[in-house]
Amino acid sequence: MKETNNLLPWYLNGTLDISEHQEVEARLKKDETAAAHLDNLSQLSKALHTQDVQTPSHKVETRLFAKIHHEHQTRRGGFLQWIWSAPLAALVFALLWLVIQPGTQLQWAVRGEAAATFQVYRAPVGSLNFELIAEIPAVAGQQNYRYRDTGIFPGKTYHYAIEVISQDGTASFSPTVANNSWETFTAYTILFLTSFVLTLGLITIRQELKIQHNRYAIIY
Amino acid sequence: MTDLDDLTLLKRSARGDDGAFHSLYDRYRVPIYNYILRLVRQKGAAEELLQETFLAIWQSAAKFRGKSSVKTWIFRIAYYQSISHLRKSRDVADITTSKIRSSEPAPEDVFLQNFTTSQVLAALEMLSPNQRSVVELTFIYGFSYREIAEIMNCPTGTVKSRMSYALRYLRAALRKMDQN
Repeated sequence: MKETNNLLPWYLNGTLDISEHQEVEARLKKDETAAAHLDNLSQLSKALHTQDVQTPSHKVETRLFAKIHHEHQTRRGGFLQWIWSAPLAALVFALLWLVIQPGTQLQWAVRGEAAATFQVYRAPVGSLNFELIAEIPAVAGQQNYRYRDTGIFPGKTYHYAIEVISQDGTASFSPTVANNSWETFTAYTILFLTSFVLTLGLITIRQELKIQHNRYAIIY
Repeated sequence: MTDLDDLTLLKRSARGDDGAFHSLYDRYRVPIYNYILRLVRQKGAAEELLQETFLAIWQSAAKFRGKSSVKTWIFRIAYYQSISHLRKSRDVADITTSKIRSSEPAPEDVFLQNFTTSQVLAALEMLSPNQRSVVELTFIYGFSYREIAEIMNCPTGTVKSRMSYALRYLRAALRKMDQN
């Protein structure tokens, strides 16, 4: 009985299913108290419908759509950020590469020889196939020379030899030397990591600037 | 776009269609605002919560699975926002009819037609947000008790008992007004 009475509010608003509706109808026919209760609910419903209907101010709409617009831009920015991050990372890597120039540094000195040119040869370890990689002209009065070989695969060992060509045309070879493969590998690792960190930093700074800009844009 | 149903508008909103979301906002801004306002009773807070409700709708439109109607889902978000706000500002459990709690059980023969509308509305103000929510959702917004259970995330039995308590408190409040 009590359960049926509890259904009266929803009988009144017409949302009961058929069986519940019929159950309440049957109850109302034989129970005057239930009918009086329904009258009360009807009065309550009428009173509720007399409440003033308020309208939210236009500022709510302005603020809401400014926020949505801001989120739109952030999402789009997030996607573009990944599109642009690859070339940016490549640019940072290239600039750092020019500064660091990872590779093997060769140094040699000449004493009292009238050298005209130095020819630098390189061969992968285990191979006698030396290839000429650089030709460096001698400078009058200069004794110490250096050359940085950047065209090598990081972590791989190479043999180097220098052919000294004197001014009278005679040539002589230096003993072969091997590079330190870890030196190049470490340099490239540092280069990659630095490029990654710098790119990430640049993207973050750009995002921060954009957020600051948008914060000002959504001030109302 | 205004003639499109709620589900179509919500799906379009999920795809980033601002026009569809605008239509959904126009359709629900007044009922949701009034529903929130009657729970939190402060215009400023109600406007803030209206904005947060629609922002949440926009953000989670793609997650709508259609287990309930869009209308029920929107009211559920509004209810959640309002109750969270009230919990932050005060204890919801305490926002009850303390003034009439100590009174005698209300007799069933208190008839609302003996009172003015303003008296009934004043008595409604004394209900707790949860009781007021059940009353409003039933009589103003026409939800079934099952839908109200979804909105308020509680069993259907709780909805019925909240309605029962709301009516009981209402009668008691009116009786007290009459005595005064």
